[in-house]
Amino acid sequence: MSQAETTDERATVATVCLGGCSGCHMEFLNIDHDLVDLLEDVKIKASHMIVDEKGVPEADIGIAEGVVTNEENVEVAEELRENCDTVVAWGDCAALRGIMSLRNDEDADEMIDEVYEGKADEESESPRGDVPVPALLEDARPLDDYIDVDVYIPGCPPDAEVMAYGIEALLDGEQPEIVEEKLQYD
Amino acid sequence: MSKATDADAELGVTLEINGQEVQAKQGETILEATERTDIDIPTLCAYADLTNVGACRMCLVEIDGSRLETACTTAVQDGMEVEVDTDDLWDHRQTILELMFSEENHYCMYCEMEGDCELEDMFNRAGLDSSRFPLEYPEIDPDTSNEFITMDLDRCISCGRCIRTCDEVVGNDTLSFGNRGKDATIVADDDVPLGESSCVSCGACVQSCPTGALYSPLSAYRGREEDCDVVQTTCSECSMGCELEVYTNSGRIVKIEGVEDGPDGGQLCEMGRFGLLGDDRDRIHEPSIRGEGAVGVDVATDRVADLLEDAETVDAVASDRLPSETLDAFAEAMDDYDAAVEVPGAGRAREEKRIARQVAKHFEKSPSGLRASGPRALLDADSVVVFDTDIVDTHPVAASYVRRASKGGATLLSVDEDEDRFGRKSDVSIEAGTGLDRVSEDAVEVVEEGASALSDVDAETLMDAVPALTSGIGVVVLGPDVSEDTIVNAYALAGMTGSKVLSLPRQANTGTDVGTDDLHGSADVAYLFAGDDREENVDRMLDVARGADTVIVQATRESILTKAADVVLPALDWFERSGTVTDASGADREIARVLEPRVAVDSDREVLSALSEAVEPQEVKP
Repeated sequence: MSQAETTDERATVATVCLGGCSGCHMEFLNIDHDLVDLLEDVKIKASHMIVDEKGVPEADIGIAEGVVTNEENVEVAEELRENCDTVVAWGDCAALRGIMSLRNDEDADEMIDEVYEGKADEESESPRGDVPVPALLEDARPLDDYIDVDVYIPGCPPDAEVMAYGIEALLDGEQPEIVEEKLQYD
Repeated sequence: MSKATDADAELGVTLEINGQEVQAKQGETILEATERTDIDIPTLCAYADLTNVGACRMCLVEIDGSRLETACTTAVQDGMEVEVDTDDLWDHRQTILELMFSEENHYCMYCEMEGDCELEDMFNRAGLDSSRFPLEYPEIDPDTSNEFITMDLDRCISCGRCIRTCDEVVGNDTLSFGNRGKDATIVADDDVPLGESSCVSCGACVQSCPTGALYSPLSAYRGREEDCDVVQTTCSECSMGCELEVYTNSGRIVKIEGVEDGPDGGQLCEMGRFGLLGDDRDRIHEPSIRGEGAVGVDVATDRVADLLEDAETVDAVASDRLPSETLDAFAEAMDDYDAAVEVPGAGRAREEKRIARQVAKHFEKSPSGLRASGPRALLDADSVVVFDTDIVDTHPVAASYVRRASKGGATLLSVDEDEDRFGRKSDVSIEAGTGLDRVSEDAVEVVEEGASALSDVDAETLMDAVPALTSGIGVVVLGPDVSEDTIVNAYALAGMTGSKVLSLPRQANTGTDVGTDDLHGSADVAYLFAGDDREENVDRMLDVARGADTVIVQATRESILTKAADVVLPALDWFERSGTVTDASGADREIARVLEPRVAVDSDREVLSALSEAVEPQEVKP
């Protein structure tokens, strides 16, 4: 491919990982060589496993993995909706709530202590107050509790082919039909 | 209208479902009518033969282009036009599914039933990929108080299949709905933990639950049904002979289920469904000789043959749960060594046959005419008399039929030396030795001494007390611990009242004539074929072992008996055997090999025939 092109006609994609395990992003890489073909049609502007871009750039397709579980997730989700024409929810967490919302049964403060206090070394403290860590929301909830979602692709994770199909269908100007064997919950 | 009449009814109603002409019977539901076609109406709360209640609303159909009804509760009508798959109907179904999804904590990802779940399948069918309703995240603690059944209402959709199964199939009424509206939930008894409730741990509710709300921790996370091999065999824990559907994966048993369309209607008991799965007694893998440790099979059988040949007297006992073919081979091998052979409980079958013959003569009936065709006969009974209510423990599936009969309106009369185990279900509880037993003295006199009449004052008193016995269909159930007099009494009662006897002996396999010898008592050698037997039979064998100089034990698992043995031969477990057992009603049931044996012997019968062959004159080795 010539690098001399001055105009890039490709559609743009930005993906973000909210309260997720990056499993959906990992699985997406399993489309393997097809990623090369896909890149002929799309430019991935942000995706933490592919591109070194920390923000949420403007893109045609914005994809989110994970539940909305802390204040930063809310900001990122809102930015995604603001900056992208079409928003896709990848995986059980973003679409339906998923494994991350198991925490909803637990007390948030106790949980933070369980994870941080004295864990790295004896002096480790729980991040609270001035410590620059996003505060947990009361519940971890799916993406559409905060922003409008156009396409849902549940699965833990969804199959890489189904995620790729979702993007391809959108490129063709169609609403992806995630039904039958494409629709899974595990 | 009885089931039989339903089945015989003519296809007289014509209706249209999805544009297809369907013939139906008067009075049947739209759902039933589609069972003869390839039309698939989605359902969640309908199950096997349970009463339909229209709880889940999945079977909503559009009738005559206007009204919506549940197909499982709406009777067919001539000329009816039914639509099953319109977009509107699927919108309704999806909305209902979203309500179910949002109300409880459904996480397919880490649910035991994932892949085998009817709710997950329905989500998929309706295309549920998100929820328009706020998710509730209710705080629900799984109830793990029962060793065999976990109740995790996080996954419950309140379809009520478990409640109806506990009521209609098991007759135990442990489960019911508690609370109202959105808070409606499944409760055991008066909302106590399942492990502290009246639950008999039969697991029928686990089998009927469409989701992961009821599952067995013994089977959890051992694999999906689609990855399992399934073999049907027969339970030999008691004389009911229930059919088992055994699921295996990679040489391990995953779960055991009842066969819904089988003779037992899918029922099993705690032992059949869970006990067989969780048998943690140590397995005997190879033969061993006291003082020499583990030896080869040939060495062990040679030694056993020598011991038997050198013995003046041999007492041989075999477990009553072995297939008839194995028991016959046992009797044959032991006969070669002039052994006295006992199969615990075999005496009762012989006695009962004799008594039935004697009694039948007095009522001009055939002996078999006095016996019930099987436990299902209880469902048609107007009156039931149970002698020895311990069948609740010894024959739990038969006890289910008794409870169902009582719930269905039959008069239940219990006769027991101790507590009446049917409790409130009994209409009359009689302490053995009083009341009803008075007739027994007369009956015994008639049967044993040839007196001529049974209809004396006492018998009339009895029949006055239980009018239901003389009018309508009566069944007399004989439990395992009944005296010979009681057996006579029961058959006489059946003869007098035109009732039938359902005999439930302790002997699991009633289909063999071997094993009624009187043992010597203190023989030179005791040969004890324990197999995987437990409790009373092992105790009996231990008694015989104590009286003998040398003890040979053929057993599946370690026990106090194998510890006492001079020679131990390995035996097959229940899931490795093959052959035939005869159940309490006289029907032959097949025992099929579920898994290949992983012990030194491949066949119990080969071990026995090696012993038979050893009796032949030995060739002198060059």
